[in-house]
Amino acid sequence: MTSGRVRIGNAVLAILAGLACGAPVHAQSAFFREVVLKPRATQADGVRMVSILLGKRAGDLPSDTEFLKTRGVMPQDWKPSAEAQLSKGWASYLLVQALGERGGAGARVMGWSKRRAYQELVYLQIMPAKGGEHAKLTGPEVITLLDRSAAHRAKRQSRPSEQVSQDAGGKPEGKGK
Amino acid sequence: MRLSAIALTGLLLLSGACRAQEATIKSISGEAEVKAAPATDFVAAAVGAKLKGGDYIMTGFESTVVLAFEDNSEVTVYQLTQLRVDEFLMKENRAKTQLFLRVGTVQAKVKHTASVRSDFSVVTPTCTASVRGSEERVTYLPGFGTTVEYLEGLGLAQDARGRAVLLRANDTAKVSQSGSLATPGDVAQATAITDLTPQGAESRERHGSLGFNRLSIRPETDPNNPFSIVQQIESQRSTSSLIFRYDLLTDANHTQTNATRGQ
Repeated sequence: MTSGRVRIGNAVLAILAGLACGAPVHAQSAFFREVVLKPRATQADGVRMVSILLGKRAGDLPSDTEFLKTRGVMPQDWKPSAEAQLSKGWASYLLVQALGERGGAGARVMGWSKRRAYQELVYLQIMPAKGGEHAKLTGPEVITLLDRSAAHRAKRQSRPSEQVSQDAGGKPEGKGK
Repeated sequence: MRLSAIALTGLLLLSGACRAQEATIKSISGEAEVKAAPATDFVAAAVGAKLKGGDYIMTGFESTVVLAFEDNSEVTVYQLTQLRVDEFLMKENRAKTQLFLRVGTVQAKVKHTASVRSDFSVVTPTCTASVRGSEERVTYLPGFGTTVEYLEGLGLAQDARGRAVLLRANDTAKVSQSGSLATPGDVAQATAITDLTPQGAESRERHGSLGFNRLSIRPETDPNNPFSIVQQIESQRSTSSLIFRYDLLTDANHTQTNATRGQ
């Protein structure tokens, strides 16, 4: 009986010591830690990824969805799900909107579709080319998209003159769509 | 009693000859977490924290961590990276470091000194990049594969199929997600390419040390350790008077055999 009490006391002490020593983890890191292990990413992962890219470091699916809709990145009638798998087209659509891409003639005349957005991101080497817009993304590929999108944005910001010429209707060199 | 004393002495000697080292977190910019080997949970990383074999470090978005190793090597871990310290041993005057890059980008600066010889390699799911006394940047992004850039010095990039490419400063090698080495444009920049498959090794043994048609790899050379092959090339160039040949991949399908005479 006594030894049982001692054991319970030790366990409680160990838990308290662990809580005292272990510093709290970061909110966005928890997302990366989990998504890297997922064989199939979900729409919620895609929404979180794009929200992080736009500077919202922490949040859940409803608040991220609201955030993206407010920013005009996500269409108002979209209802992302935590269960639905994330397709390349679905993620591409959000990313081209988040990055403010203008696209080629097709996108400028008819607007973005999932297919056009996917093709644009493949062209920009943000999206892996294998599969089509209906192909599903893995968790680690979501990290790839975020990394490449951030690099693309940084590169574009370091070359403002090119962006100005694109905005004025110029076509990037070598655009073969 | 005597046996125990002998065993204890042996263990002490062994631990002195080959001891596990630690890496120290030198600086953190943004968010980073570490996971110590037996633990299952990540905790926030702190400057000065030590990493040992089996430990993970992970960086967040727009975050960077610099790790300092005891052999004076320095590794910069860029954003969205998950890295595991696989092995970090000091054996006599040889420091062996192996990092496993699960995802992300690292830049390793390995300082080679006369007193400590560094075997430094970064392993990704598709590639092994070895570096000696130089600087390399390795990026592994799922879907795109591995990119190895040598910024300074000399090193090897080896793909999952056993093919390796010797790289010098400003050379880049790419290994696709399927594990095959390089687009032709990238290989053309490289100095030499060799085949590390078992068949290649047998072929070299048959030819002996003279007249081999691949980079010379002696039977005692470990095919799993690309670093030893770099050593081999260097030692042959400096001490042998034999002509040796290597294949330079000029495009996707053709190789050009080159010959060089040792000094």
